[in-house]
Amino acid sequence: MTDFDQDTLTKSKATAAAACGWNFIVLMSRQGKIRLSEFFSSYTESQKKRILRDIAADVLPRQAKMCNIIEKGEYKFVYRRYASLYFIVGAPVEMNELIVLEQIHLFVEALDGYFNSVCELDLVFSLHKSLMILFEMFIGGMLCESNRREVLQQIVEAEELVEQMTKPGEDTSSQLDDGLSFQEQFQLGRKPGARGPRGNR
Amino acid sequence: MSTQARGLNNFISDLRNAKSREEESNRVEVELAKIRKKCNPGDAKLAADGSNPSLSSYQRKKYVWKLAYIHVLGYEVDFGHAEVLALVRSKKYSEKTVGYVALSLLLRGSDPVVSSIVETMKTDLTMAPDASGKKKKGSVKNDAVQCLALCSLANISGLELIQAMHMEVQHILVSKTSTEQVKKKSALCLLRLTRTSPNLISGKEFAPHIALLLQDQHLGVVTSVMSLLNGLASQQTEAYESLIPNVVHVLSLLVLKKECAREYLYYRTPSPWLQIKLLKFLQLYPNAVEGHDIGMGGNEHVNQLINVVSRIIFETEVSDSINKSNADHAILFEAVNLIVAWGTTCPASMLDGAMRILGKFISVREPNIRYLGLMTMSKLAQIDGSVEGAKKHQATVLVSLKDADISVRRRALDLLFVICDTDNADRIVDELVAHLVVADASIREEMVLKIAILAEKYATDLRWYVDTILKLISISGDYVSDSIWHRVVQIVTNHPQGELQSYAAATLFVAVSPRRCHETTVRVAAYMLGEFGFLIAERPGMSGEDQFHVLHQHWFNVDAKTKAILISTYAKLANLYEECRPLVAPVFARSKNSSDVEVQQRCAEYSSMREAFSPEAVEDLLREMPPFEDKRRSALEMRLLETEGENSAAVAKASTPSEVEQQRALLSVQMLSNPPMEEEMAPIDEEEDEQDTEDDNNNRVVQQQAQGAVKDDEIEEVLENGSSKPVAVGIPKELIPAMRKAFSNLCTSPSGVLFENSLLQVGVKHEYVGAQGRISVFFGNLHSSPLHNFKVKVDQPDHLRTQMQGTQDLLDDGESDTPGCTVATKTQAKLIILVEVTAPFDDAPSMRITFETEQGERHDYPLRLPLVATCFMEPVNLDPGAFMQRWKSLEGPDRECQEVMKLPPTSEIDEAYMDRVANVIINGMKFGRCQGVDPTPWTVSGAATFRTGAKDLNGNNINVGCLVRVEANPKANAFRVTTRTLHPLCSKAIKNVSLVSIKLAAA
Repeated sequence: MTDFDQDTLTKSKATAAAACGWNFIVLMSRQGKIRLSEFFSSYTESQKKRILRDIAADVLPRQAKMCNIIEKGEYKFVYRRYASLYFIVGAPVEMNELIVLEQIHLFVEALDGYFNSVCELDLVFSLHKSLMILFEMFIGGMLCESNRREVLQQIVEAEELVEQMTKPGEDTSSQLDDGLSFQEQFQLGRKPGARGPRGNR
Repeated sequence: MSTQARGLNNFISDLRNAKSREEESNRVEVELAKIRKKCNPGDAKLAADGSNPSLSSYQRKKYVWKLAYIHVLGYEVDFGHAEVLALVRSKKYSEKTVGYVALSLLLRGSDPVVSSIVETMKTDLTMAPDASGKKKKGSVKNDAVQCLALCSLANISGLELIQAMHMEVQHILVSKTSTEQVKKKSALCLLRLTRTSPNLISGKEFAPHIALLLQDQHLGVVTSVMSLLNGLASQQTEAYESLIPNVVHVLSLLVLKKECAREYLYYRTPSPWLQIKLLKFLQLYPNAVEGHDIGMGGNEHVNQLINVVSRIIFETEVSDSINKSNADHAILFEAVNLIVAWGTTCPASMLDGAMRILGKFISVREPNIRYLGLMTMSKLAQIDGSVEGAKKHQATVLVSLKDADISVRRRALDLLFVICDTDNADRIVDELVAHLVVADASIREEMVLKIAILAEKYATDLRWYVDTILKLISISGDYVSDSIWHRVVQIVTNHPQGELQSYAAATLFVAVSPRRCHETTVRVAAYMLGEFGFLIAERPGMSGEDQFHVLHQHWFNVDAKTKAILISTYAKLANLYEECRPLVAPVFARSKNSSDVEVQQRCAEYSSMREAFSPEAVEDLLREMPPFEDKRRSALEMRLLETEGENSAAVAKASTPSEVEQQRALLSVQMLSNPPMEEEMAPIDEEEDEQDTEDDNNNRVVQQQAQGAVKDDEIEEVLENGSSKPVAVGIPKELIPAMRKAFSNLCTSPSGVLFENSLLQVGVKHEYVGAQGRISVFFGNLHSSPLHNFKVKVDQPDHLRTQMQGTQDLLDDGESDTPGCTVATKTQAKLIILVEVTAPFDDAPSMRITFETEQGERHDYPLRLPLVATCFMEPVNLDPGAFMQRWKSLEGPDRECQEVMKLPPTSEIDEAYMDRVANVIINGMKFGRCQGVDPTPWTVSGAATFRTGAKDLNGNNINVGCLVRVEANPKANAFRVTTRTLHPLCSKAIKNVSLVSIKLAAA
């Protein structure tokens, strides 16, 4: 083997190990509506549009008995379907596909824990909560915390912090609209973190 | 619902109710316009940072959330950044948290506005948690803000931020006071930063910190740190090699002892996320278990590692829960990847075990496991000795080839490609061809390409290869790219052995006979019949005229490119068969006005060719194409590389030649290396040689160009792109000066080395009596392996009568196809040449050496024997008077030859030099010195007789008297050599030898 070959070989191995994070995650309904999207790697607007188009074209028509992986050259789609909602992750080719599948599930479990049996409507109306959970669990696309309880505790603590710091009578930051409280507005009557621990209080 | 949405909630509801994508995007546009106005009302003065100060905290948050929402739905948001930054700068946690989330979503580090936030982020980042711990609330707050900043920094990255903050992040990670939350986030943040700008961190200094962090009790921290370690180690692999034992330790706790906090069990599997990362890290060190079986002491972790991997491979149980099953299989596949990385250095039982498990996986129903099983097996099969195990599963793989899922089909195809070899090529290729009929469009092109490569690679009979490609064309001709049929042409042209060429011509004649056939078939047929049609012209129904008719029936259905090929073929047919000319002429006449430039040009050129050139030139132009030069990578492999990338298993496989291919190449090289040698050998002596080789090259280029004009341009392109690498390895340029010197030296000395490189040494010993000489040539193998097909061909010019005798099969008489002999390592082959000179001459006979190394590399060395006119001299001792008398009698342009040679400034003419010159004239060139005419040391004069074996009318040998005079001019640093003989060739030859000898004596 020549030096050159050796070089490219180690290089390819190196990228294999470095690739442990998602490039992007997209939540798309069966009708092709985007419920959430976050691109961890840098993509131009046109690249993003293309990816979203590809997802609609490649993932949505697939049958249930097909595998959950679609190769797209540099990256691959790994997707999971929950009822009518698809969770699609763009992962580097070298990344372990099955673990990506379970990472998606871990995220869904966390959402489930927070919203107490999550449904698409929760995600639609409480997008910012989903995003906070996402950022708490995945940093730069890499799994940061797999302990669901700890994730939810962090979210709840942050919420408490927001409430604590708001003096009564002041323009309340937890109210985003028309005097309705945070929870009332987005949780549709459910208490946040009902399943999770509520911290010290 | 009112279109006058007043809040985020209303806006979301509106979007939800949108019936179509258009309605949704209209609603988004309206909202964006509204927010834009709010952010920049025009009349109000903006704050210094560009935000609108009249917005309340509530409004600002609301609008930023809306923007974030719109962005997340996939719309472009290109304003409002100032408001986001204002939130980040806020002292209130509630605003900061919104600001940082929006920052992560809306901005990237490359954005110029980011620079205005650097200081704020830095403050947030370094805000030390209260060391005194007086109030828990306070520390929680700082902690939380720190986390927000870290998370955002990781998400947006960016060079400027990295430069400003990587030291802080590094410090936070290793600081003892950082909480677990902060630690795990800073680890990932740091990873993101080093990925954007590598080499921020020196591995040597940082590795101990990592080792410490790996001992953390919090598994979340360990997981994040492992991500960081993987990122760092992939940049500086060696710097982190010392951590292997630590990593093995963590892994064995998880796998062997199942030691794991309850919260980190995922469906009863101890943190599969962490296990994957640990296994990925170990894949960076493929030599980690080398020598495990020799029991090298002190490598406890190696044994432990092997235990762990064996446990994973052999004791993973199948679970009913899909989540547990996925997690366990994820670990299992990663362990197999580790075994693949180790390759043959790991215990054979593990390789076998891995193959067995994969064999099970590829037959399960579960599509993900089957998919990954197929993929991993093609990696495993590439390890030496593993392909046999994989071949057992051939039938199972063929089932997956028919799967409904394109992802699975692709993997199956890939695996079949990898396990295909000479044993099973027939079966696999036939199966693939059969499947091609029903395969859908998305995979056809890939299949066609792979079938073509396999058929070429493993064809034991090239006729099968030709048949297979024809089948491909007839089944899915639209997917057969030009490079595929070009390759067929190349292969048939380059393999003159057997019946291949006539077979191809006949087969294509039949294929192109029906009225309807694929255009690609017409192209191949046109080309092949043009080249090799003459081989079948004697067969019934396949005469030149018939060939024209079967081709020409397609004329009106094909495009200009095909027409261009047809035209060239017609020209060749017309050239060979008288009866074709009247058929071809009208076609040319009509197409001379074609709108296609290529067609027009070809017709015009061919039809006026006979008037423009001599018949010989036309003959030359329309002759068959010379063999194509071999390339390192065929066009097909290049295509595969394009579609699959450098790391693909298929590409690696395609680029290693199979045994059959090598044998074939060897055979055809022999066939091709024996054609009559038209080209002049590159002479070695004198200045002309470079020019001569250049001329040779030019001739060849001219020939190629001439043929190129009548050939399909694309084929020509294939040839041109084929790199400048010749069919065989010649003499490297850098060896030529040394060779020239060796040759010159041998001209005047009885023995020496003529040529030497790392493979071969050629020694020569020669002695002469009068007109006769005996030359012994020794060919010594200096290489570590035998040289095969070793052949020597010696030119036999008219002026020499030669008799040769050598090691068996060594000599190449240019007629029969001797295979050549084998020269074992450190041995010699020997050739003895007896010569008698019959006429004056001035050049040296050429000797061409060809052989092949064990690796199949062909070498071809054109040399010259040091057999020059001066070898046949007999000294004549004349007194000065007689010398001068003869000297004067030989005046005249035909008899005298003179040349002045200026020495390079490095040599200086002194008396010692003159002595050496005299010596070489007397002993080397065998002239008798005539001291009397050399009054000063600066001249040397000599006389000799050139003896030939030819008889004159009286039956006496013809001899030629020769005189030489060398005059030195030390001041000008030059020599003048004058020779006078009765024969111009003699004069020239002696002058040449004198010049090179004098030059040589300078050293």
